[in-house]
Parts: sequence; structure tokens; C-alpha cells
Amino acid sequence: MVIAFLIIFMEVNVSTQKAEKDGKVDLATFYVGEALCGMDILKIQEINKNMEITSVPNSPDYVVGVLNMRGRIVTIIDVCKKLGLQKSDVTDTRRNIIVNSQSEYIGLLVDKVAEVVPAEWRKVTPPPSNVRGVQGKYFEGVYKKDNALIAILDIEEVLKEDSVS
Amino acid sequence: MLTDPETTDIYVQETNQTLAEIEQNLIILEDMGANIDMSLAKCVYHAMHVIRNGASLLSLSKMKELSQKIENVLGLICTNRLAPNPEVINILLQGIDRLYQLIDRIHSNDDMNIDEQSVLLTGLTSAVLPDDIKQSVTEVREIPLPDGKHVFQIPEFNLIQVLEQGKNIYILIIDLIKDVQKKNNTPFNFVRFIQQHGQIIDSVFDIQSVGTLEEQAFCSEEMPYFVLLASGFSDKQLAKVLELQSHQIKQVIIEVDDLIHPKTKQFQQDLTMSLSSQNRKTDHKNRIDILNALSCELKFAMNSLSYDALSLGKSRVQSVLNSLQNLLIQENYVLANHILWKIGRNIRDHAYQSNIQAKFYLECGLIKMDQRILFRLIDPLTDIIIQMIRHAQTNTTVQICLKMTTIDHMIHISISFIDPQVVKQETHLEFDIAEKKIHALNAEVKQSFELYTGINIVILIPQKVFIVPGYCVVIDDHHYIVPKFNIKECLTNLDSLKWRKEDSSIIFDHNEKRIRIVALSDNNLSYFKNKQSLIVCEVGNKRFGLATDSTDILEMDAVCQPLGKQLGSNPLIVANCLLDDGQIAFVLDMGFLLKNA
Repeated sequence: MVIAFLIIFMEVNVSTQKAEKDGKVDLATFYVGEALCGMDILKIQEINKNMEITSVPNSPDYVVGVLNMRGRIVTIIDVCKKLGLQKSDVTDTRRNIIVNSQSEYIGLLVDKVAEVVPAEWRKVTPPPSNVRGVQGKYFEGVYKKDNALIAILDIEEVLKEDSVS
Repeated sequence: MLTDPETTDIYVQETNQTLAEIEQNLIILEDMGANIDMSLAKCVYHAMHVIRNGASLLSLSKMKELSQKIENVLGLICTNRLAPNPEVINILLQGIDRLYQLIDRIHSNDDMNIDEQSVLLTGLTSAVLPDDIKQSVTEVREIPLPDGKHVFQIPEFNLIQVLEQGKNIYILIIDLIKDVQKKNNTPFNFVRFIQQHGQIIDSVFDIQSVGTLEEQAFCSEEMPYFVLLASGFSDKQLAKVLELQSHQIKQVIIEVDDLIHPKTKQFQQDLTMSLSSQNRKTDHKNRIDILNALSCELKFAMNSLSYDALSLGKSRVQSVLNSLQNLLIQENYVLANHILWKIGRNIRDHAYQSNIQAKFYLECGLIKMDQRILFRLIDPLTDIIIQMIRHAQTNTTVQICLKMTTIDHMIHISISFIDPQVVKQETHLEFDIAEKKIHALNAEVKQSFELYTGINIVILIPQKVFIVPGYCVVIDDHHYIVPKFNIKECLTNLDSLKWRKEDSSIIFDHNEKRIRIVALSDNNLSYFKNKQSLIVCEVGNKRFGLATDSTDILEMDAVCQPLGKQLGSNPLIVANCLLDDGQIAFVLDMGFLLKNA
């Protein structure tokens, strides 16, 4: 009886996840270096341009520092460095995309925030092993919009501690 | 003068506590207006009297003088000759504030000026007295002591007050050796005991008679202490209850009325203080016992670690840590309203100075919080409430309520107007400085406005916080917290000639000792020669120096936030925290620094 219940529960759970991936998604898009990336807009807590970041001595090079976000100390990650891309010039268009990862707020420093693109999960293709020089494991998939390719970031994979490029 | 550290410590602790109670009760008396609660007024009067007697015993002349003057004004309130209106309470509160400062600098308080408070209080006292008594406030009556060497100098007004209550005035001649020490008593307790049987008007400790170690007089084993006591007891009754000989009690005949009943209320209060002192001693013993047990367990845990039972050793250390944290909670957690009432005082002062009517209600229930957090909440919460008052549009009294509740291990503080309509349009308050101070407590501030509920400020604070007592220093534009436990010495005005390089290490020579320096970044000699101060740290039994750019090293209780996962593997830093100005500081792991020394 218990086993039967568990099986039903697991099936429901899997089908829910599948439904989510089957449905529509609004992708917040942004540039990391030259690469156009995206993520589900619902994963974003806020986007800010607060660059009063305090560097942290003795920390990995992809950690830009920490930021006082209304009393909450948030670690800021340079996505460009984390993905192993060429470091781009510092510009006024840089923004911190704040996401909630495993109950912790983390800021992703990106070079420029672009538009919100409505997409359908069924049109998202699996990532190739290499996307513009970045390992495919960092992406959930690739979405084609007009002539552009949006690489959808797998946030948890990017933020994994051991996934240093 | 009785200046043994224990007596002074007890006096400081009790006086701070009593002053806080007096301060709260004065605000309550002010709120009552014409309907004075006489028992409360008398309670305040007697509390001030106890402070004054202690000051007299410890020969704290400024404390004694100022508390006497406050007591005089309180005496007038108790006898219905003065109404505790805002002006009167304001002057009394100024006097109380000065007493706080005096007690805070107890060892140097004779340097402090109390003229302003004295003038205001004396003026207040004489203003309400009939012309024939008015002069008595400043007139001093000399009462010679039986030894012929000393005199009591007492304002006549104080003598009139006790005589009006129908009391007799006595001089008690006490030998602190024979009557106190040899009976296994302490001077402080003995004075408390006397206070249970009368009102000490003044006291003199004859230090000259004691002499010095070189003098023969010292061998006479006498320590005369004279007390001028107003009491409802007869001299024989006093001799019996105080266990003194009849020749040790001399009645001073100035003006004698019939005996009245002894003051049971004062008796009860003094008894309560005596009991609280005993409880404190018991608590202290319990704490020592617990610390003793914990230190044993830690020693045995070291034993476990030494025979490679790493996991067992770690778990034993962890259990000691847990017990220490529980002990800290017991020590630091107090009822929130025992500290936050001070906001009411601040709001009252603001309203008085701004000539507006404002009422503050504090509803904390039985919620307990770390007192280090509570003390740091007073200023920012006061600032926020004053901002709210400034935005209120009303001709009547502005009423603000602060409610405290707990939800899911979080303390919720909600501040709102009792009548939300006093702010008629959507308003957003600016309180950046207060907000940053609250953030530094690892707390959140939210502000909302709704037409029917008005402005509502909500502050969320974790019920349990991790606080590191330490010192904040600046090194290479970064703020660091160095735990207090690891700091042994702080050297400033560094002599650049004392820096040198030895092999690959940087050394600073100080008092014929060489201090090996730990570098956080640069390791060049020229880099260190520009440093402003050097902190000598100790970890285990090893010492090293940490060069900083700070000229002032700020002592603080750092309320820590855990490190983010991306920084979890950083061995240099164990936590981070926010400073009152919004900057981020890192708590250093001194063990890691030592490893690199």
C-alpha cells in the first residue's frame, strides 16, 4: 500500500516537473561577455546596479565580493570568470542579478541586462558540449529567437563550489 | 572612605538599576498629572534616599550632593507641595542623567560639574516653599560630633523634613572593626541594616583615626564611623536592634515631635535590595560552578583529542560550546521592556523640547532578547518614532505604539500610530542612519503605508544571534573584527625604526621582545612602516602581531551573518557583519593567521 502510494506520488511529481518544462517561460536575458544568456525570470529576486561591492581577501577570483543589500550580506559572483570566459571591459551597463539559491541570496554580476523573452520549454534544445567556449554543463538548454541563440543558465550548476573553470 | 572594589561594584550595579527604576517611575508620575499615586512617589523618594546613603558611605561627594537635592524635590512631591508636571519631571530627569554619568565615572566623579543640575533643583525646591522655610534650602546647620574633631553639615531643609515627619535625630558612633567586621558583617550590609531602622541623613568615616601602617594608631584597631540618623525609634530601641551600647547613640535635640510609626515601605524596599544582593551572590556562585564543570570537561576533551579519538573529542568540545552558549543566553537575555522603556524617556524628552504632546506605548509582553541587541535598538527606534511624530498632523496628542511579538524564531517589532488618521496621505519616512544601525543587528526593516492603518514600520530580528565581542580595525581599506579573546595589547605611534626583516619574516621590536608580524597581503618592510597601529594577538600560547591602518581601534559586539556558500571555504574569514554605517566587516580566524605567521 505504502509502496503504491509512493509510486503514485513520484509519478505525479515527475509529471509536474515535466509540465513545468513543457509550459511557457519568460526568460530574462543578459550578456556575459559576448554570450547572450537567459534564466527563468521567476528565479530572479531583483536586479540592481549597486556596485559598492566589498572585495573579500583570500577568496576565489570569480567572487567579486560582498554587497550590503538592505541589511543582507550578499556574495557577488562574476559570471564571466566563473564560466571561464574572457574578461570583458568594465562598463556602466553591468548589473547584479540577485537569485535565491538554496535559501541564500547570491548576486550574479553580468555585463548587460537585455530584454525578457517569452519562450516555450518544448522549443528549448539540449545544450551542446560547448556553448561559445563554455562547457555545456552550465546550461539547461539553448533557445533560438530570431537569429539569436539564448543559452539558458543552470544556476545551481554555475553556483556549485567545485565547478571552477 | 570605604572603597573596597566589591562594595563599590555592588553600589554601581544597584544604583544603575535603581536609577532606571526611578527614571521609569518619574515618567509614570508625569503621565498621571494631578492624580498622583502617592505610594509610587514615596517609592521613588526612598529609592533616591538609598542612593544618597550609599554615596555618603563611599564618600562620593558629588553623588551625595546631587542625590540629596533630587531627594528634596521628591520629598516635596510626596508631601503634595509640588506637582510632578513636565517642567518638574524634566529637571528631575536631568538630575538623574547626571547621576548616571557620575556613577559611570565613579572613580573620577569629583571632577564632574553638577552646578547646572544643582541650581535647577535648588531653585525648584525653594520656589514652592513658604518664605520662612525658603532660606532653609541653602542654609547649612552644623552638628558637631562627639569626638570634637568633625561636624555634620546638613542643609536645614533636610532637618526640617525629617522633623516634620516626627522623627528623632541621633548620632550613631560605630566602630567598623568591633561592631561590623568582628561580627562577620560588611560595612555595606551594616548600613543597609541601619536603613531599615531609620533614615540616614549623613555619615562620616573618620579616616584620620585609622592612621597609616606606619602609625601606632593603626594598632588600636578602631575605625570610627559616625551616622546621623533620623528614626522613629527611641535611643534604647535603636541600641537593641542595632546591637550597640547606649553610649554609642546620642540624640541630637533640635526640635522634637511625637514618635510616629516606622516606615514599613522603606523597610520593605531596603529588605528587597538586601535580598537581591544575596540572590546575586548565589547566581554568581552557580555561574562559577558551571564554568568550573565546563573547564573540567574541556580539559578531558583535550585528553580525548590527544589519544586520537578525534570524533569523541570534537563532540565533547561541541557539548562544552553548547553549554557555554546556554550560559550566555541566561546571562544576556532579559525582558525586552526592561531596556526598551528608555525609548519612552527619549520620546518624552523630544516632545518636551519640541513643545508637542506625544505618548508612547510599549508592548513587549514577556519577550526576552539579548540585552546587547536591545541596548543598540534604543537609538534607531527612537529616531524612527521621532520621524513618525514629525509627520503626524494633529492638534492633539500623538500616540505611538511599539508592539513586540515572536513568530518562527524571529522577533517582530511593529511601530504604528494608535490613530492612523494622523497621517493623511501616503508617506515614506527617510531614516537611513537608523536603518543602517538596525541592519548592523542582522535585522530587517520594512515600511508600509495603508490608508486605514497608516504608517507601519516592521523590524524583524532573529531571536538568537551570534555575537563576537571584538575590536574593529582597518587593514588595506578592509574592515576586520579581531576577537577580543585574542587581543593582548595594542600599540600605537609606532616607531618606524623598530620594523625589520629577519629572513623572510617581518619583525617589530617592542620592549626588548620581537613580535613576528602576520601579513594579510604585502610583505614588504616599507608597507609596514606606514601602518598606524599594531595589535599583539595570542592564539593558544603563541603570539604575533597584526599591523593595521586604524588610529582608533573600536571595541564592538559584532552581530555576525554567516558567510555565503561561495566563501565557506575561505579559511581567513569565519563570518561577516555589518557596521553601523553600512560597511561590511570580516571576522578573522586568528588560528589561520597564526598558521601563516
